[in-house]
Amino acid sequence: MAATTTAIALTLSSFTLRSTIPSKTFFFPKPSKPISLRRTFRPLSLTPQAKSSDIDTSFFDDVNPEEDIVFDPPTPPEGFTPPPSFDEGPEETEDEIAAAYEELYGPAYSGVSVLGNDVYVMDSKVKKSSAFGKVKKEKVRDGFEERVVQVRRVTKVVKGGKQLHFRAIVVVGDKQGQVGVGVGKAKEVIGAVQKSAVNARRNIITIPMTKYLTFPHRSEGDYGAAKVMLRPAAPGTGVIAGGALRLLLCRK
Amino acid sequence: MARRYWNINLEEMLEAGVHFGHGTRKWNPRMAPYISAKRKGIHITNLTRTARFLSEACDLVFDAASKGKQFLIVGTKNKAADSVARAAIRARCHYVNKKWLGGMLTNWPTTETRLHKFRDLRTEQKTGGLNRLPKRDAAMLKRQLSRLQTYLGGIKYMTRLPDIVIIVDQQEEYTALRECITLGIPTICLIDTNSDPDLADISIPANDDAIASIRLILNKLVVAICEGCSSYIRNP
Repeated sequence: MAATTTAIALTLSSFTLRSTIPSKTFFFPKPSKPISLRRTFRPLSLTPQAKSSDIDTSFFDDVNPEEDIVFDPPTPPEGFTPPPSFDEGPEETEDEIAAAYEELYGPAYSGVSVLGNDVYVMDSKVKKSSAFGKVKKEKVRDGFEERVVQVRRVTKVVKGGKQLHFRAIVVVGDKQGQVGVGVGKAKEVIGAVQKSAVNARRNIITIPMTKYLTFPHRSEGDYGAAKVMLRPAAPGTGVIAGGALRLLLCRK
Repeated sequence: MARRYWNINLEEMLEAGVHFGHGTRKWNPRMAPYISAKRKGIHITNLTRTARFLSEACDLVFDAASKGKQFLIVGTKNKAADSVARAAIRARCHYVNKKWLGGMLTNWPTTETRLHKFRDLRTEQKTGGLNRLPKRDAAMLKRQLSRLQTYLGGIKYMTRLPDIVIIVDQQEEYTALRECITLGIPTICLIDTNSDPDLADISIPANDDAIASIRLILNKLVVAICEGCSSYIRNP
């Protein structure tokens, strides 16, 4: 079932050629799978987060090092004196440094407060774990629904015997075309399911869907011995699929 | 992005030895466009490119600082550790000059736990709580405190992930670079002839062995950050 899920993920990611989101190749254990799916492996440095920030790195992205690069600095303003290097210049006392940092960032984790701010300001960020059992985690976070595809008990044999863990595979999606698959292992089923949900939220793929919430075209994917074929059908047909695929498509 | 004057002289860079690379045998062929000559078994980097890249990086850093972004300077080489700390303190940025603990950024919640512990130990020390404990416990806590001070001393004011990371030697800080790449944080790297220029977002081909060259480049970046900070304070 794990292979099927990976094959499904490969198929779904073949749709992402249309969109500009790079496929998350590091999830798949064997990234050198058949290129018959025409999937491009974008370097991870092109993750969307870096581009959506307002730091303008256009010069460094477009520069072609083979060409001739000239260095013509603008003229210095009149009366320009080079500022002192960080080594020279007056030595600052610790208090001055602490005050300057605190002005910029607040007392944070320094333990001392020169400007009179509350030293324990970062405590509110810590989630207080209650004394009785686990804290009830919020069930519905950011609109994603989770479906457990498989829970399996896996064993590691050590000198003392067998160590048992549970491995959970979970599919996470918002039914609008965003899906993610995640794997997590823990000593208890619930912990494993939570870990895999966290993992799934990290690798999310956006699938372009048509007006009737179906695929744009037929596609196939395979991983190991599992082969998956997805094809769109006319509205009213329903979902004809079994196993992992059904869980993915029915409630996606 | 307006181009400003950053006082970058080629003669100054020649004096500091920015153009020296590593030995010929240890080069990375991807650095070929940035290498201009080979002298006595050492590659020489093309200084005009370095100067241009450095000035563009300074512009970028100035822009980012004037928008109020947070910086982190990473440099763990023995030679560079001291200058990294001083440069960062001068620019009011965070810094890491002892070993970069794995997962410092990607495993940020755990690093936060350590920072909390650091803060609690500091408050204990300030209020004199350590003197009330038996000697053995006090010694243990003091040891922990000194450990946390060396590793986390530079990031004790960091409340969230930094926006730009400046790395001094790419070979040395490979883990830090990889973490920034997975998180999508733009990085500025000092690239030597044995490093890969495609990994970092902004790479400045320079010499990472000589203290003078590291100091020079850090100086320019720190000046840019300071100016950006002051312009941010004036009009946020």
